[in-house]
Amino acid sequence: MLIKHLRYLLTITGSFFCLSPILVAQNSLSYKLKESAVYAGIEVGSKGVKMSLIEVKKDLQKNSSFIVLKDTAVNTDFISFTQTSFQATLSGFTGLYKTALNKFNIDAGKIFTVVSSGVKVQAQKSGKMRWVNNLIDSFRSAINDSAKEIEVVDVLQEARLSHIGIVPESRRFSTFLIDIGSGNTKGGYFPNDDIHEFKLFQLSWGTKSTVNATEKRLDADKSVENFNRQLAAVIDGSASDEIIYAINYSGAYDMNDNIAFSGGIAWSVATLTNPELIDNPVIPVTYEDVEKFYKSLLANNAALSELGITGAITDPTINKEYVAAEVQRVNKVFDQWSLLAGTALLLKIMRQFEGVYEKKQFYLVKNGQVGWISAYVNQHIVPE
Amino acid sequence: MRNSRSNARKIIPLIILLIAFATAATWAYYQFFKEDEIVPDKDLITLYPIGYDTTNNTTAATPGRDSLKKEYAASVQRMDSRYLTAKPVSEPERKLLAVKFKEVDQLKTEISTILKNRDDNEGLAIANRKIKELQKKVDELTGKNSEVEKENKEIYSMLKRFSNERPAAGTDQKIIAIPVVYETRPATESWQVAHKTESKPLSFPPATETNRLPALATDIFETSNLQLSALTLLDNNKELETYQADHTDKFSGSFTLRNNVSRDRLGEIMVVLQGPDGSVLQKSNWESGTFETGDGKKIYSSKIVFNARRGEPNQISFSLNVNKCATGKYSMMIYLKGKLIGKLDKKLS
Repeated sequence: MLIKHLRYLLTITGSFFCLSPILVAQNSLSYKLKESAVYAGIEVGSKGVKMSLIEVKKDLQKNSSFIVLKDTAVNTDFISFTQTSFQATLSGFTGLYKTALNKFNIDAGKIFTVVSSGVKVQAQKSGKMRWVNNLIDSFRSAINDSAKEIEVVDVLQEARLSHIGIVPESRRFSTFLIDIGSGNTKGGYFPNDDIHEFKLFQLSWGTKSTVNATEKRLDADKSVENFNRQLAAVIDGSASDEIIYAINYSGAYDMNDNIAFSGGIAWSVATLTNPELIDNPVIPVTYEDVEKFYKSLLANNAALSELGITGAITDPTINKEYVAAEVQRVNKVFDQWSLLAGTALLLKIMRQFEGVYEKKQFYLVKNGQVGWISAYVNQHIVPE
Repeated sequence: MRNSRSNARKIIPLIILLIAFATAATWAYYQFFKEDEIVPDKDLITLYPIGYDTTNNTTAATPGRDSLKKEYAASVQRMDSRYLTAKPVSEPERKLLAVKFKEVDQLKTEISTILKNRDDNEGLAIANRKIKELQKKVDELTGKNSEVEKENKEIYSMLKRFSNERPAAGTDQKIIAIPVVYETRPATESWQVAHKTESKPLSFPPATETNRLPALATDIFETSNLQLSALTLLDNNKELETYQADHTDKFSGSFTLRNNVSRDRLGEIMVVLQGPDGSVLQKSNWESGTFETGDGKKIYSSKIVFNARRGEPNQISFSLNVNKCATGKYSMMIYLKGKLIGKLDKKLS
């Protein structure tokens, strides 16, 4: 009988202890600011849906000070405009919205939803704007809010917001921000010390498009050496004119002391060249650093593996496991060809700022993807 | 029998349920209200012996040996805890307190001797009187220490006020760091003789031809006058030097760099400020990077471009803000072309 009652006791207390953490845990966000409010920004991008949770200090809401608490993404490849990718995007969009609403207890009014310029450009190019509108309507229906605002932003707006979100105020008017994407490159700067006036810079070259152009020239020889030769032909040939012209036309050289690069390739190069600064979102580099990295990509690709990178770290305070995980992530996203193509494009752009008498400071920004959405949220906050 | 068994079957689960609920409620109470729980300050608790009349401070009857032992222990503990928290600042204060502590120590010896002797019941009354005397002296001492603490706080506030009244940085008056008087121990700064870096093959890959900065391999540079200060930021952007990690908001360092060669040189100095745990303090994400040394890659706190003219001393300074500082040794290391050319340690308590 005692055993039977012991069973009751264990069942009751066991249930209580299992459920109570769920009851107690209101959300898993650890706030970093006192008297702050948390906002969410959900962006439907070309590759997938991203969500950033941003903490804004209440008395600073008029300024652009915020902290990105979390950012997460679901890869759905929306711009392939297939039924599968549409469903996956809708599901990701709705799922992230509900996560912000229910898991993190963020009011619907504090969740901002947008469709990125990349989606808009691709949809317009291929006459698929109807897919974008359908996605918006389906999302509104899924969340039972027909009035939910979902803005489709344009390239200028996105580039401007990226700059505001990534570059600190102290360097805002002296930094040229260039986002090297997979299909194109965009960026710009503020020429007149005014955040409303933005000089846009665009290139039709990105990491993936450079790989594609190089691949077309490969023929049967798929060796790295041949890829390198053909890549040089692409970079110094068809891409060169556009890059040189666009940079000269932008007038950025004279107006900026700092040149910051964001995008996937910037994150990869920053992670692989500076594992000691794994926690830093921005890494200062020189042209020589990137050039050296390019050479090591060609000569000794194994040195850029997890083991190669962590084995070279001599600082005992660095968390090697974390570094290894990040290196693994880079190697999953970018193969050797993509790294070579992206780095070659990066070097080509950097070269335009390597003057004989004047030296610019280059930076690689790792978390650039949350920049514009963070700035968008911050600019749409109505001070309480 | 059967009825009683049936009753037991009904009652026992209920009792178990009640116990489970009580356990759960206690657990929940601690989970939700633990942070709000008020922990009374030790100094607010006043212990009185049994029979002690708190209204007129007289003893109604001589308490027992155990009560006296407790009372004695409480008095000693109270004094010890207060004594540890505050220290005198001036020499006369120190002398006066030394006399008082000597008296207290004598009383403590006498009381403990009486209390140890279990056969001496007559001595209990004497012990009781001596404990009262001890309590009085402890009160005086703790009061005195409170005064010292209060005085220290007043001096610190006055310094802060004085600092705030001075012109802001950048105006005609230069801010001079004033040591904080309540700090009991000066920082121990170990000077290391200025290092020299001479022409030797570098252990890292040589600069490429695209490197804009001229090669420094054949140069002889030396550093001197190394200084590192921990600063507390006050209102109106004023700064006050401190030796306490808790109060450190910023580090400021400087040194003199001399170029002992025949040519003017443009170069880059890397300053590494290493914390007690070995990690490098960084100025900001946009200002810290890595550089090569003979011991592998290192993170720099600050990179400074200099133009050293031949034979002329070059005063170089840097600063970096910190959010949280741990106690221990901070090392400022100066590197030129991957070689250590100066080092200074500073301890923060």
